[in-house]
Amino acid sequence: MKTIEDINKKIRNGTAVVVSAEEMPDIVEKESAKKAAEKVDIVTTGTFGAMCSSGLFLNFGHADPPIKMQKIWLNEVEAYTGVAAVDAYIGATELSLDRGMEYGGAHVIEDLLLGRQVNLRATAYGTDCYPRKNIETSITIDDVNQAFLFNPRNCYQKYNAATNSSDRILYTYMGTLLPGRKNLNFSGTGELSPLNNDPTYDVIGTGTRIFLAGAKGYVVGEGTQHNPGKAFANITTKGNLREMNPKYLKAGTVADYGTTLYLGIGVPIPVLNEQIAKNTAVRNKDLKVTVFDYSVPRLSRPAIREVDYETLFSGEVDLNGVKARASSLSSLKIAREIVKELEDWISHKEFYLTEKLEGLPKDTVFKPMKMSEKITSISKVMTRNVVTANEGDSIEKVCNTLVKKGVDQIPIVDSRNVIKGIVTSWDITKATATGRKRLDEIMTKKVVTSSPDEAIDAVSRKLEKHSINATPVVDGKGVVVGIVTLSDINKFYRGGK
Amino acid sequence: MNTYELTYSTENSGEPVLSRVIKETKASVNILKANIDFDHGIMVIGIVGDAKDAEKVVKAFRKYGLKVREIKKKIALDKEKCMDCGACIGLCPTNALNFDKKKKLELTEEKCIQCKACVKACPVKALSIEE
Repeated sequence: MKTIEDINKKIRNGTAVVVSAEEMPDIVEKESAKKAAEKVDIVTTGTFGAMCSSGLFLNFGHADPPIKMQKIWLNEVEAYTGVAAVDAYIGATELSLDRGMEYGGAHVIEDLLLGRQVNLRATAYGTDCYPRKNIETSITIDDVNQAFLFNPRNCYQKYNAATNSSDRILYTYMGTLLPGRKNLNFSGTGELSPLNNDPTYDVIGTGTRIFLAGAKGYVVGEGTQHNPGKAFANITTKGNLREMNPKYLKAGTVADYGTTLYLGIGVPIPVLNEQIAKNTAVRNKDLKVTVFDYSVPRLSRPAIREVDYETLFSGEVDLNGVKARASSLSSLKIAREIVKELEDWISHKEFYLTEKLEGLPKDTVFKPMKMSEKITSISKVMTRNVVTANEGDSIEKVCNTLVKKGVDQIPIVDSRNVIKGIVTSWDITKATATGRKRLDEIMTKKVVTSSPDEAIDAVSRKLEKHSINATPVVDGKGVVVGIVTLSDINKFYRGGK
Repeated sequence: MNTYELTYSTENSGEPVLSRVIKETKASVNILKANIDFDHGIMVIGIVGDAKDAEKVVKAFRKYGLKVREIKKKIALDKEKCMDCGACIGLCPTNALNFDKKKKLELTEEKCIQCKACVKACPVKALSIEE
């Protein structure tokens, strides 16, 4: 029907008809896909959200005497230098040595874009051609040769939503998840999301010119973990940092998870035929994602339900009777501004479409990691003969048991051996100091428990997170079937068990 | 609603101070935060009613030996920094944070109980508590 060249001609003449992906569904519904394809030339799409898989290639130029730069730090954030001398790649999620999660690779990229001074420190082993072993200097974006973003996994078509069924708060890459399914976090811009408007991957591909954080960037090709079979496509992008707009590139910290780069991407979809018109008429209510329970620290988490983007954007999602507040981790407002800006570029003849050189793969699969070892569950390392005490026991009795059995903590159980609390030797010490007599006054009632099939690594993380030395292992009914201590886990890691 | 922080000590953390105060003053008290061990702890409460009601309740708490401090801190939203992602919205226990019709983040200060959940969750530090 239409070609990219036809559309570019219209852009040149100022007659190209551009509508946003939020406007297209009504047009197609009112006038049919055929008529819409004749009338509309370009559908603008956009997204703005956390894109961890982003980073910046830099070339610093050579020092005198020259240095190979084997290891480098920018504002104490390490960059990868396993390429040619004085080239480096700084990834968004690399954390700083001095400020941890407060400041990372994403912040270095943002600081450079804002024209700020960045401290550069490098070391090397010294060669005949690169004799220098150390250097420390301060640079801005104007001092480097190249500074381009190269992002291996951007612009996910859509993303699964997250909630938390446990009784403890979780800090994840999907944001903060409150206990008891109180909230639900999701990502993406639904019907406005670029790849949702090209679900058969016929339009967007290698060489597609895009809006990348306010610059004209390009699609390099499929992204890492590109998963077309599940409608989880993504792209690798490239663009010049110098041309970007800080409004569409922001460094952030996801609480207790790490640093990330919030990026804005806009993709123009040329309406070449009726099918493309139909595809770009997709509505939020037709785009579904699965809500997963992140309280299970395993690769396959339990799915709670499917939910569409219309419901997600409403701000409230019913999770089997519990009303969870839904928060987006992407900004629909900024995504709309990107779509508008892209439209302005086109109408001002500043942006022309490109023909893709190669489409995104339609048949690749996303495999899990090949593991050379089997997952070990804590039931393998736990002590099955658990020393317990009853709620009614005196502190003195528990004290004796602690000493006699040589343990540091005792789970407190009822007559059916169901967990009611836990008492540590430190609790006993405090009780003695303050003159408390009853066990239920001093025991911790909100016990961090584990189930027998949990992986050792997950339990190890749990102990570390809560700063505790042991976790009672309970079955589905809360009956104590074992206990795992830090030393059990350490023994396992050392190969003792 | 007036917000107060109560500090319990070894002497009173085992006592049913709160229920005694409520019985005596017949006040409506909203527990916003509680972290009480057997030997110390803090509780943050909101007292429903006007300043006079609040004064009565505060007096009663002090009678039982609790330290009482009014929380006058205010939540602040830096609109320059905010990117309207909404990561804070689902965490707010009192719906003080919301999107307007244009998906712009809105803060209703009066509803805020200074729980700070949003402060930690904001990726770009656009939310803060100021004295």
